[in-house]
Amino acid sequence: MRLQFLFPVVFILFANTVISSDSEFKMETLAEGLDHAWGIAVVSDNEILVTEGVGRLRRIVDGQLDPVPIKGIPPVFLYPDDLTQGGLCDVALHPRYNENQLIYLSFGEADKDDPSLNAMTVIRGRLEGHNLVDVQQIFKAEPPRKTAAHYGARILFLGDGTMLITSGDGFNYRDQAQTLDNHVGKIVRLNDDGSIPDDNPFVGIKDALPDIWSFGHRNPTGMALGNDGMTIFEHEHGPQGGDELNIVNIGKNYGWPLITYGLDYSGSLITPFTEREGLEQPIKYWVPSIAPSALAIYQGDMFPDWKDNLFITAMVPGDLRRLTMINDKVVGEEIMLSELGRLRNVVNSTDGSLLVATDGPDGKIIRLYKN
Amino acid sequence: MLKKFTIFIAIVILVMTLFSVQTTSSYMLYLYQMGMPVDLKAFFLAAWTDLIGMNFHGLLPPIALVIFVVLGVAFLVAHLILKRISVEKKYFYAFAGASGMFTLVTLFPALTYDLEMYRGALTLLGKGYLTATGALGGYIFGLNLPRQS
Repeated sequence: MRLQFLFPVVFILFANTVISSDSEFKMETLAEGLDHAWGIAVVSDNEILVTEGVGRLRRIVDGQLDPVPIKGIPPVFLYPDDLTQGGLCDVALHPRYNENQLIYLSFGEADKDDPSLNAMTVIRGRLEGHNLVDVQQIFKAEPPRKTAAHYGARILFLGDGTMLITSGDGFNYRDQAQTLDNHVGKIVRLNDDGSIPDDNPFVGIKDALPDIWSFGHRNPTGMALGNDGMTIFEHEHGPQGGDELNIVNIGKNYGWPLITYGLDYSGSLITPFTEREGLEQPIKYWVPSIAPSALAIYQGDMFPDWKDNLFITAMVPGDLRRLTMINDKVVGEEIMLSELGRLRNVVNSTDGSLLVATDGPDGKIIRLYKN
Repeated sequence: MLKKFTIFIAIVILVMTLFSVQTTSSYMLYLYQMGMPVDLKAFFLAAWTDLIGMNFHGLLPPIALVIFVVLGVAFLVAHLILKRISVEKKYFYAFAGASGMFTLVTLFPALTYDLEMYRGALTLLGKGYLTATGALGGYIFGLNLPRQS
């Protein structure tokens, strides 16, 4: 009888504490009611920016979601009843944000000449209070496409001040991922103002776009810089199976759709080949698919056992993957937070905690922390 | 009735096989053009894998079921119309089969936000071929129907 009385007390005490195989952590919800949260940028100890697929940029200040969205965001292209892809995607801070207040946003944008077409676009603007001002387009994926899928749209600043932007294959246009005259299935590298760095691998190459950094990608939605400041980790959605984690190197071909570990959605073979000379292999792949949505490499001190681990949010069936690495090889994988459903993003916070975004029309920002 | 159903099932298998082979061909042709080592053995192995895969390993409904429904509806409508008008059956069923397959390859992307789930139907040529498989299936179906029907 006494034990029965104690049970609810014990439940309340430990309900919010989760034990990973290496570390115990707690969870708290920082914000909820976000309509398809996608990108997260940690501005400071007490301020976070979050994008919503519907085209809103929101602020979370001191753990409270600001009810007033940032004004000045250009209209985004999305199908009226499908927000699983496209819309407003990533948000990234300029490396010297504290001096210039510049932020970068990626999104699907309707083509100005033909509204039935759209393209993944990146803009930058200066954040002034609740307004985004001095907005300028710095990248537009060419050619525009008809489909509203596979945008990529992840933005990552490198140590040299240049930025990488992922551009997906648009689903129907996969063959173009192997040719260099377009942005389909590419990662591009730009200077912070959108100009093209002279040392890009295809500068001066005939019939190749000079902003391309690597190619042969499908839908790369996650990218992070290793704690060594050099290694670029990227993951991409495979078709049915064949999601990949890659280390992206300059000028390399990552093989899509010539090689893959996945099948087409119809069940047919996209290719019977899984490897070929000159085509890069993933350092890990998932069959069946986990639908990886974002990638962070743990940098903080709050969880010493997680240092340098890769954290990947997955949307199928919905969980957080913690990958342990030794010499750029994945040696362990732990599945966490499988009770939260589809997860859209994971980022490091300034205090060493991790921030995770859940997907859907009532998305949340959840903080993983230790006392 | 049993004979008619047996002919119909044979037509479904024929059209499904042509559909699947065209899917394989569209992939293999691209891979060949890109310099991948595609030979006859690889092609036939992929064709067999696709035939099985499109029925048992896809996220979409099995292709045999899809074609069964598409041609079933098309032939049923044709059967009802043929009770009222006098047209040569083989041509009318060919038209019905073509219409059914044309509807499939054009309507499906409209239901999936323009995503072309059947790779073989990506191009106009592919859509034309798949429409022709429906016409062929309908023609053979009409040709083999018992006279009294």
